[in-house]
Amino acid sequence: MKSYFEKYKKTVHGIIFVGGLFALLIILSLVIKPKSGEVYDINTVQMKCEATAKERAESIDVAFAGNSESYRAFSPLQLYAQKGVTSYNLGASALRVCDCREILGNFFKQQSPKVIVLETDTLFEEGSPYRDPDAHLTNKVEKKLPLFHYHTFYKRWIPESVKEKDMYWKDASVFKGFLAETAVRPYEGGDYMSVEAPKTKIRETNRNVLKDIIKLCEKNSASLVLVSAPSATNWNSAKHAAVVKWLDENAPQVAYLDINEKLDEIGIDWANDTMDGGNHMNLYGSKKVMDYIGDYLTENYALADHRNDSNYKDWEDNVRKAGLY
Amino acid sequence: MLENFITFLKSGIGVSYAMWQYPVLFLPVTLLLYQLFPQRFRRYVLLAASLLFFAFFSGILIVFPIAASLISYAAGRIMENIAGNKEIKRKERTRRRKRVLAAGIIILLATLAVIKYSDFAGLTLVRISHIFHGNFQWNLLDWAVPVGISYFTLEAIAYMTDVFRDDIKAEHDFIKLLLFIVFFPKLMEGPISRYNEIADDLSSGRATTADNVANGYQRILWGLFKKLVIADHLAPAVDILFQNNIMDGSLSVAAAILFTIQEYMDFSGTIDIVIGSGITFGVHLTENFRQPFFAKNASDFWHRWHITLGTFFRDYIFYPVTLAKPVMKFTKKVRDKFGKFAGTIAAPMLALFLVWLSNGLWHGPRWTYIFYGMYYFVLIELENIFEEPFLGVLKKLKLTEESITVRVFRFIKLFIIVIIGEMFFRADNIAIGVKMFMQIFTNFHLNVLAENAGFLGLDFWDYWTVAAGMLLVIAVSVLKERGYPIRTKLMAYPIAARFAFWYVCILAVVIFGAYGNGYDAAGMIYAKF
Repeated sequence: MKSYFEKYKKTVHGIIFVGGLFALLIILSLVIKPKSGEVYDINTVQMKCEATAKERAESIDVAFAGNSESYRAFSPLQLYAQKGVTSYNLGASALRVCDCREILGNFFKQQSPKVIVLETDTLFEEGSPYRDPDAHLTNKVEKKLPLFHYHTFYKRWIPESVKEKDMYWKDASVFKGFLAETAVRPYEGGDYMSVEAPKTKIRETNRNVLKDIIKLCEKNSASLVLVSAPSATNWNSAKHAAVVKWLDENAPQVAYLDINEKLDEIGIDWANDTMDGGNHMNLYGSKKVMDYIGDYLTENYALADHRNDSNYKDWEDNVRKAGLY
Repeated sequence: MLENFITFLKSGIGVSYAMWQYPVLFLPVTLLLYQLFPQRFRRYVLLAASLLFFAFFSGILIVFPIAASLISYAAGRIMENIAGNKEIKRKERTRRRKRVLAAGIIILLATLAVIKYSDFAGLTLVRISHIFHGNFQWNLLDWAVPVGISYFTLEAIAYMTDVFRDDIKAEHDFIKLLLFIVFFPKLMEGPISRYNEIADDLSSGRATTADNVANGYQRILWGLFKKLVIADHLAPAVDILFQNNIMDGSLSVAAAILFTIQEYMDFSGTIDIVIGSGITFGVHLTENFRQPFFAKNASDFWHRWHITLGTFFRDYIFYPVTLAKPVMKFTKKVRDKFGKFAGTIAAPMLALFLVWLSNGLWHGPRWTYIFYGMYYFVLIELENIFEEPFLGVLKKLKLTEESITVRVFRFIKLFIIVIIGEMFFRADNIAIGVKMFMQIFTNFHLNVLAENAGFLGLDFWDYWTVAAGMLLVIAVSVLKERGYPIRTKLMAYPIAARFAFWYVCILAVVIFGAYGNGYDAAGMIYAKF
């Protein structure tokens, strides 16, 4: 008996080791798994949630969501300066629509915005919480052992001196999530909206998430507006058609504005209004976009003008501090 | 249903060595099947696993390693038959065997050349034609390159040459030779193995042991640490720096240093995974790295970096060329005319030139790789010339080679040599490499690097992770260089302590590895050769 055990001692040790490892992975997964739903970029989501949590509860009337097209085009300070409407930009770089949903869901816990503006470029990025949605086996493993999915959880803990330099944190309390860029790099291509682009459609994952966002807005009595910010290199007529088609078939009550079709109307000048050759608006372009968006929102939705309201003095101070509007 | 199953397999069983599917699925399943089968069938398990592994990457191109094995097998058997034919005179037997060897080598090298270098040659001819106002045109052939072709081609050449030299007997068992060529751990990044080193172990079908599996996986874990925690974290920064190479000399230096670290961690880490995989089956693949940054000079560096490539070139190019009669005659003439020292320098010069030209070309069809080879050729020749005078200076200064001053000096000199070489290796072309190099002297501003540190794709934690990882690797390297028996010392601890230690190591890779959401896959650098 003893020699039998001695013979297989190392194998038994190996089995115990592997068993112990699995137990450890499961326990750690339970500990670090976020209470929210599945997200792709948990650290950015948490950074945005923390930044928005600093806002006074029930003080924001409009929220802008989406990826970098959103935070480069939609300026809450301009909207306040011109219309007195308070808003916040929840956009983040390459933010997937599943993460937009998560940030919005968290935002609704502290705020009751009347309008949610979702920039549409995010609908055509990968929307799944997984890096590669086709890696079925890997995704299954990450579902069972979320430690692998959220293993960068430690990155939430950074010194204040470093956090202050983070692009989503720095000046967020002043600019409310908008990132102003004055660099000019012209777009020199032609009329990208009149060029025939290959047919496309919104991916299934993104369509499902969009439905969730619509339900979320309805549940919180907010109106959803889809907006396509000007982007010569990212947007085209095929994407426009895909959004229109989906909305017609699934959510005709949701408004849609494609500013790429109103460039002349709002005076976008591609030689001056883009920071990176047509991908994103710069500050000059965003001013024109927000002129239009501000008019649209106040004409179509009952949004309060908080200028001259002493409860919103901090907004006045921020507009003055920014010195842009 | 079959199609869905294959798609599922492909999506799940990736597989590169650093993807989780390899150490968690592919390797254990292969080990289990290997162990379950009777001894005489185990080599077929290894063969099937190897062919499947290859097919996942290169599909139908699996015919290439099989063909290379067939050619080597046939060449070996023919040479053996010729050698055994006593009716032919000895000199004629040697001549015929040489022809068979030459034919085998030419077929393999020609295949490699056509697949990997034909477009490079064609485009070079186009450029030359334009310089002379010609009109030569080249339509890109864009051949699909089978994974590992640069590795298994050299192994096949080594096998045939060893048979020719009577270092080994020609293999009669084709399966044994095929398994040697396609053995999956070494397929993609080497090490470039010799037939007599591993073929018997591969084919023996000896049962694996718990010790083999434990030791193998410990080595794999170390490799994953180097690759995922250090190399893959640096990948975005290296890409950004080399894309913005014309900005400032400080960025050139940063690019050179970070790429050197990335490449070393990536390649040596992958080799650790490969060697660890071999250990699990009781197969001991040759070490490919031996603390290269502890080298005394560039020549010694290449005895410690990509060792098996260096020994291949030494055994199959350097020695044959140096010992060739015309070269020996030339060396004697130089020695007689210019003295012993000149003879020592002249003797290996042609061989070294061919070795470094081959080294550059082996890495791929790019002028930067050829430049890289020539860079080391020139430097090693210069080191050979100045080594004696340098030792004379040390003697005058009453310093020994072991003194701290000399060792620090040698380290700094070597480090500079290596990072500059790597900068050219990685640059998009030689002109950019030269520009990056010149900027170090003409346009160097440290504040530019400081200002851009936040835009290299590395955040606060990434910098600390890489720094901590590097410290650990340096500590382990120092211990290994001094011959400290790390694993033996670890084994002396109680089992609970050892378990805890390995759990911490595994979690370090799982938590701090640059994989998954937010990280792009950083492909294995040396797998594209």
